[in-house]
Amino acid sequence: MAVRVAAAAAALLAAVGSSDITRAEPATASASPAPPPGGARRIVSLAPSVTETVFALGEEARLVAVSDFCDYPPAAQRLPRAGSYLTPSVETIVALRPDAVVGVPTPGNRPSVERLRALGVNVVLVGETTIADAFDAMRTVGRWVDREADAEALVARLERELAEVRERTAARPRRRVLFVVGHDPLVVAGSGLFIDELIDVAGGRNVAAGGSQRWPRLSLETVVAEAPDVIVDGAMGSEGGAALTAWWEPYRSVPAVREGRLRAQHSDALLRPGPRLAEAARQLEALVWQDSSPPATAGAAR
Amino acid sequence: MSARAEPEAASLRSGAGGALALHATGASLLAVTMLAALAIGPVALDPIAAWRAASDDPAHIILVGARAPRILLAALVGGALGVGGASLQALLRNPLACPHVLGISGGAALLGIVAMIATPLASASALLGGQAALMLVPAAAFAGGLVTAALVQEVAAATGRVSPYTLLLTGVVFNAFAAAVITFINTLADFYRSSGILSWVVGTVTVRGGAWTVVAAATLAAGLVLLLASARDLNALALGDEGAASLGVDVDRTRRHVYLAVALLVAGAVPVSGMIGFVGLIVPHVVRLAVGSDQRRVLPGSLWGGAVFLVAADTVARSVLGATELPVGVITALSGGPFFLYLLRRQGRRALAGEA
Repeated sequence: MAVRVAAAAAALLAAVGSSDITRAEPATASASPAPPPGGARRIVSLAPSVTETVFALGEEARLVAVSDFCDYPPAAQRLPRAGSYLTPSVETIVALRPDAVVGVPTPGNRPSVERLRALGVNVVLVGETTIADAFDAMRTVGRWVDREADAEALVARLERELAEVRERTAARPRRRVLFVVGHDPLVVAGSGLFIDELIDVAGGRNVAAGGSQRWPRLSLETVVAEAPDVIVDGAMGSEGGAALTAWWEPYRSVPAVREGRLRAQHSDALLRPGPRLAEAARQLEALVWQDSSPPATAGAAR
Repeated sequence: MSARAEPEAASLRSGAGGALALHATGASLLAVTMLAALAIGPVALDPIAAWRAASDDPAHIILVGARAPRILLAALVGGALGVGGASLQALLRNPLACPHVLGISGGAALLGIVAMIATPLASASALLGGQAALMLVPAAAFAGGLVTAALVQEVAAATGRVSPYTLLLTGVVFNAFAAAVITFINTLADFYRSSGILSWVVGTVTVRGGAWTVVAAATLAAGLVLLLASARDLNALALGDEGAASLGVDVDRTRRHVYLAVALLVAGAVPVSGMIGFVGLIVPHVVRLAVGSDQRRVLPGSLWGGAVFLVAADTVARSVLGATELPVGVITALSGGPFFLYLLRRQGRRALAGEA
């Protein structure tokens, strides 16, 4: 029952081969009224990243309900549910009489969002595709919980911590990285995603960033041809390293396989563009570089 | 087996020499298609140079480790679906029957997915060793296919005389049920597993490793042997259940053999490809146009024809969008749908009334 379906659940639809629907929807907070003085008192969060931000700003008392996928921090698990990230429950939300419903545009929630707006519910949509989107989302959430300055400070802290990671990895030669979320078929993080940017911050280059899709189903031949140095693989999840090694074993010409840089990971922070972005960058840095000690110059520079 | 029944149409182009020519033609068509497929893919390479390259050369690994196994698997799955469709169409005297439409693929996928979710738990609790755990999914898929076939037949029979259309409707309803349960499982599943589960529904040829391919080949062989042994009885069934019985055919036994064989074929195919539509539906029609309606020719012809069709469709699926793969089910539906309509139009009512 581990409902670990993280914020990136939108990827499912892209992963089945349909076009990248999420891209079509511009993430705007337009048409939403300005927050009332003192912020919204009753907020429904429809996305894990939004829930995490509200908690990070210390305003969780305003949350009257969250989505099924909002499981971090642990206290969020005790909040009432308002349906899933993909299909929010219109009835539940209307009954809660929220001042603001804050969510991200997903392929599935558009009809619900339109219905909620038609019923006079104030829905605020924020983006979560890129790191810049995530920072904008934090500022917007900050306005709605009357913590604008704290949200600014949160963004500034994350920017500083990301810069620190970038600084540590800048002196290193780039490693070619593949970020896998599914086997059979192979689904990976593609271009234009915050994960792509985090790979860059962590000193890697995403080998799957060539196309236009965010979650492409990559052919194995392409992986062999791209020859990544590191494969960060969440697909085996809890089954761990041995299964992972066995799965990749036939493709020995790939440096990550040949030189043993297959990294099993199962962190939801890596899939959520929220207040744990810097933590995600540090996790990724560790995954990319854990087998090599940092160059001496990088340490001296601090 | 005991039957001596051979409807008029059956004698058209039969005989030992004919069978040999049929297999030779089918095998060479398949060989040409597979060789062409080896040269086509998202990564441009010269197959001969890649074959001769060192074993750790990327081009060699792409050819031998990624492309060739996929082509082989597509051929096995396509053959299984083609011959499965042909035998069901003959058994039910219904040109719209195939494992997919009747819900047999859906039942196999349903239990297969349940087994796939349960496999890590079973192996973690040391109930099953590594290789034995692998066999759990095909075994569950076999059970699912067989139970569905029995269920569909049972429900249809309960309405009185088994009408082919009742049977199809029951299959359609069961498919919807299976899709709903699969969607439900997917909703509960881990994000990292979701794409894998959904790929079962859309239909994707997936190389999961040598053991799975061996299972697909073994079930294909077993199913094929069983069906070829029933080919004469299937010919007699063209005269209707009573007509076949009057010729000494044990109709119930033939039916059991065909369902068992189809469940076997599907058990090998579905765990490595999900629910691929249209192969079992359209291939037998094309084959009948070429070889006539004698099941002793239609069944082997559909084996080769299904393999050729799926290898070609999968080659398009894995190369048309460059590095990004398309589910092959999309290609078979895109090419199979219009082609089926064309067949209908060309043959008018006869295609649908068919051999009924």
